[in-house]
Amino acid sequence: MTASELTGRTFAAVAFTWEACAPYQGRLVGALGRRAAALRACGVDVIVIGHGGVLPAALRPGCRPVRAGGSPAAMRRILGALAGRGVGPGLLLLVGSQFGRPGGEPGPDSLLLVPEAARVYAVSVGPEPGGVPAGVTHVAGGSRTLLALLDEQVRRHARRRVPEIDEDPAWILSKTGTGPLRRRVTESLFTLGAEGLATRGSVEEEAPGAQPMVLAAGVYDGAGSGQHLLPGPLWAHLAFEPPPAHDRRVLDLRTGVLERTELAAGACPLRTLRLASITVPGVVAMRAEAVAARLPWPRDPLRRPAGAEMTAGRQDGTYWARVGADRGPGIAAAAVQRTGRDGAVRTVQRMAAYASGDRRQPELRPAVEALRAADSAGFGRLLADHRAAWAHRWEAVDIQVRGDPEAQLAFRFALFQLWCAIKAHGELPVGARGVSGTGYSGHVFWDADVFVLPAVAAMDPAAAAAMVRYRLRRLAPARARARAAGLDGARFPWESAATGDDVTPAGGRLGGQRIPILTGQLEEHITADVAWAAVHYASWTGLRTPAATLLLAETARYWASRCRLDAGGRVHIDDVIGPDEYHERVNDNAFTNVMARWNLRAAAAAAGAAHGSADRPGMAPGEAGHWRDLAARIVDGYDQATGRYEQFAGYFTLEPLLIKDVAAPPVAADLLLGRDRVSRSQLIKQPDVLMLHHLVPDQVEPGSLGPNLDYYDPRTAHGSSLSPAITASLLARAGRPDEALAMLRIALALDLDDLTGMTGSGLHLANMGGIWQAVVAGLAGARVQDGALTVDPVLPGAWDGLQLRFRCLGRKVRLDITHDRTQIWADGPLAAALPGQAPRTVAGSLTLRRPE
Amino acid sequence: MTALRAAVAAQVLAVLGQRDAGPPVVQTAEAIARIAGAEVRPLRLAADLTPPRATARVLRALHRPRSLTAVLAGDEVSRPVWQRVAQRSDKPVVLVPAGARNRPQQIRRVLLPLDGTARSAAAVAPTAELLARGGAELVVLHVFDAETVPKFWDQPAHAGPAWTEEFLARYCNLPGARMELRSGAAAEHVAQVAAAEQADMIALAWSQQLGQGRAPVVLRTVLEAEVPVILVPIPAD
Repeated sequence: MTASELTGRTFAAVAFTWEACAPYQGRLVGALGRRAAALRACGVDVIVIGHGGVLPAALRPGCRPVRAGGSPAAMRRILGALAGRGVGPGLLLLVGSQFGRPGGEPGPDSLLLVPEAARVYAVSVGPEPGGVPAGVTHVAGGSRTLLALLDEQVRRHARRRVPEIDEDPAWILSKTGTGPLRRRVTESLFTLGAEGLATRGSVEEEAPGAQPMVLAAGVYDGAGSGQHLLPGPLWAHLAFEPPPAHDRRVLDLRTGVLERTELAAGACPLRTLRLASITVPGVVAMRAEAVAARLPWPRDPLRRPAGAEMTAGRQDGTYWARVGADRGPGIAAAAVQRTGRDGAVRTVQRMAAYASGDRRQPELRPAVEALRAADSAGFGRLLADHRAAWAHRWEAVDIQVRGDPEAQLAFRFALFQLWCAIKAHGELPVGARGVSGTGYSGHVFWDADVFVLPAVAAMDPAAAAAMVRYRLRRLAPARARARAAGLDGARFPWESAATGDDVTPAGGRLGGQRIPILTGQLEEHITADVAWAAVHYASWTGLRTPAATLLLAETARYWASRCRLDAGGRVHIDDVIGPDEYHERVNDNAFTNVMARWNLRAAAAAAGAAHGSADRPGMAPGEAGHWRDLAARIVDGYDQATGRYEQFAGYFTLEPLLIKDVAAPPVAADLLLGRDRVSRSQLIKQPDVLMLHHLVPDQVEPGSLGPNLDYYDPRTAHGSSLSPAITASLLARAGRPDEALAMLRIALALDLDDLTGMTGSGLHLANMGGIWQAVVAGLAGARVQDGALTVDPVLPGAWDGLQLRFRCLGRKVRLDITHDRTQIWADGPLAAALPGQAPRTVAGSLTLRRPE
Repeated sequence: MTALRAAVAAQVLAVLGQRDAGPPVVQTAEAIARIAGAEVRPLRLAADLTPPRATARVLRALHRPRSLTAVLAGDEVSRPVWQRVAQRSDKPVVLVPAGARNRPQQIRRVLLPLDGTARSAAAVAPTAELLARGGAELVVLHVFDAETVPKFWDQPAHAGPAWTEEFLARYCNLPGARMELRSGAAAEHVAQVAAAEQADMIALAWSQQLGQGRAPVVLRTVLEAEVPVILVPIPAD
């Protein structure tokens, strides 16, 4: 290490003891102040520990004082304050002078080395004749060395060196190696996104099979079933000569940055770090560094994406590029890059700002302005604000498990990627793979409404509102579709994209067999699912959405006109596909029928509640009563004797095949046995009847979860990626938390271990929403009923405790669950209860115990 | 050397026995030589050679650095020789089945069955690359059975393209390669798909094990195929 490279790292915070300045405190104050101010301008916190009085004026602009120097409490205060800004211990440089004593006893500064500070980079500049404790680097020289350490940080920040990340195992997802087998999987896993725009985690250089991509939610290209997400200009490419043969990439979930370090590369490894800013939406930024010969001067920072045409240019030092037709949807980007040297190291800093238009090309000017603002503030400021904003998110929403670090990390990964896929403004179509890849063409399925939205409502209610708006704004095409079929109301499409017309492909391949795809014609439960999502949003958040009343009414009208009344006065829905897509063209699918029944009743109730108000949809006389009457007559296949629902008319007569006799689930049974064999059997793809117990437990017979779970689960192949998480939730609700955890582990590994073999084409957002539901609705038993949060927790034996943080009914809520008690904390008055108990108002915290 | 590799004056051995297998073997060798930029070298086995001695002669010739591959008659009569050669060669061996309807003048399309393991994909990759570079279209075949069936297959219209794209990216990332999927036993499908796809050749990676119940895909394909089969050895761990 050279004299100027004392640590060789770029920290986010520096703390030094006042004693470390001795004996030149007075003379060095001015020099310290200048360096601290320079670091503050780069977003670096500078903290002085143990100054007894008011900080000298020269230090005040750049430094924050922490008194009670040398005490563990001081260090914990520092770490706590930094954590609030997303700066973990591994990003802190701690400088002291008395870590050891001549006799080998711990010195006063060693009190700062609390266990939580294990990853802090500690340096002693004191004489330390007795040596320093393990983990402390000793660089003698007193206050002059302190200045040199600060100089190193000022220099590294000014010369745009790649910052560090805090490698906290509870927060980082790392992948080592550049093997082609998982390259695209890693690209998906390492997607970074904000406000509906995401950039896949591809390596910077060109690599075989790599699929670098920038996608924006709701920006589609093409027509009909060929509509797909339009890829935007690429921004993160660099040439390395040669590229790293072996590397390690780390996604830091706590701060939303992706870091890459070349392994076995000597003293100056190639490194990069990138982020998608959540404080300046649309802005992405990266830094790279390597020995100059290996990092050639980069050319245009914006590059044409595969499969799209791009126009590009440069004006006033800013690069710009556009993708998309002149009069159609488009994605535009502006970029700047700066290169520099720090000794033998070349550095590249690149920032880009994106703007997108789902109907027409966006104006470039807002992107240019955002870029200039970010560039002017500087990378360091952007990163510091970004870290702080992520810390704010995690403070409000998190899943913390005691006793299961692997699950803990996977939960955070799911939350992280849900955040990367959503936005709070405008409308939000959440495609099956979000904006993390091209899979499913970005089409919007019931995945969004039933699986993702409940999670988003608890994470970011404004984003959930944007999801509801996406559906509400497509009420007109839904009405047109119903009308075209000679029916009333509104029928939502099974697959939706830009316009709200159905974009389900007409055919597909099941293995080698070409098959017609009938879901677009027959999987009609989507219409009730859309209504359910709007009601769930309003119920969970406590926010009224007047337009949702209209949506409920229009979907109810659809069901009212879609039903068939038989001679006995019973109501049927014929020729549908339920969630179990192994069985097509069935009559009286229990899920579809009960969801339609719920839809009719909910619409009637909403119309009644809105009576006399401007929100009430135009109602024909007696219409609400008609809906209630139909709802009461809808057959649901329930058998009182067994407590089971028949999945559809005739299901019980099918070949009684169990999945254990075929293969170990999860398995795509239709691929293994063939479509015809599976359709003639009782094997099902995913919960169908049981989805009712998950979505509308008040609409099914009390006590029917157990009998139906016992019957259907052994017949479930879980061949849909939607299946494991919801089944975990159902198992938890049935009082089987250990089995729930076993099923939940499949869901947690689905993308992380690429169980589908398709994570390379994007992340399974519905599974991630399902994971949230399995924990919150399943294990914690959290529901909102009549404006009160009820909890009914069960914990797997392997877990010591579970803490959930989320938003509900306008409050930040925290649940601390152990095996014998549940504590609820809210940041304002909140009605909460255990099942069967009257709600009580939580003001601060409330401990709920089950009656003995 | 476990695969075809183009080299200066590389040679494709046309192994000619006492039976009338000459024309198909020579034509196949010529087609391979054309696509590999190599020349054909006839290797005539004397009629009185025992199979072990014939095998040793072929292997000696194959062992030369210039030799890319050997083309042999893959019929039942020649089985004692081709089985031994295929099992012991560290280079690809091409078998011309007795029923080969197609004696390709040119190899335009090659069926490449892959089981989805990195080992077999890596073994066959140089051969596939050479064939693709020579202008052959690669049709990758993967057969789902109880061992290889995916756990999840959400929506066939979308899952199919996503799965095949990912499979190709991992195991056969060559321009123009496309994919065929089947369910069942791979041995039942290879020759059939080759015929349906009008492939001029089948390229199979194999572990060179022919014990009881081993290599069912290779044995059945050689028996049923109507086109030459190139067997590419998978190196032992």
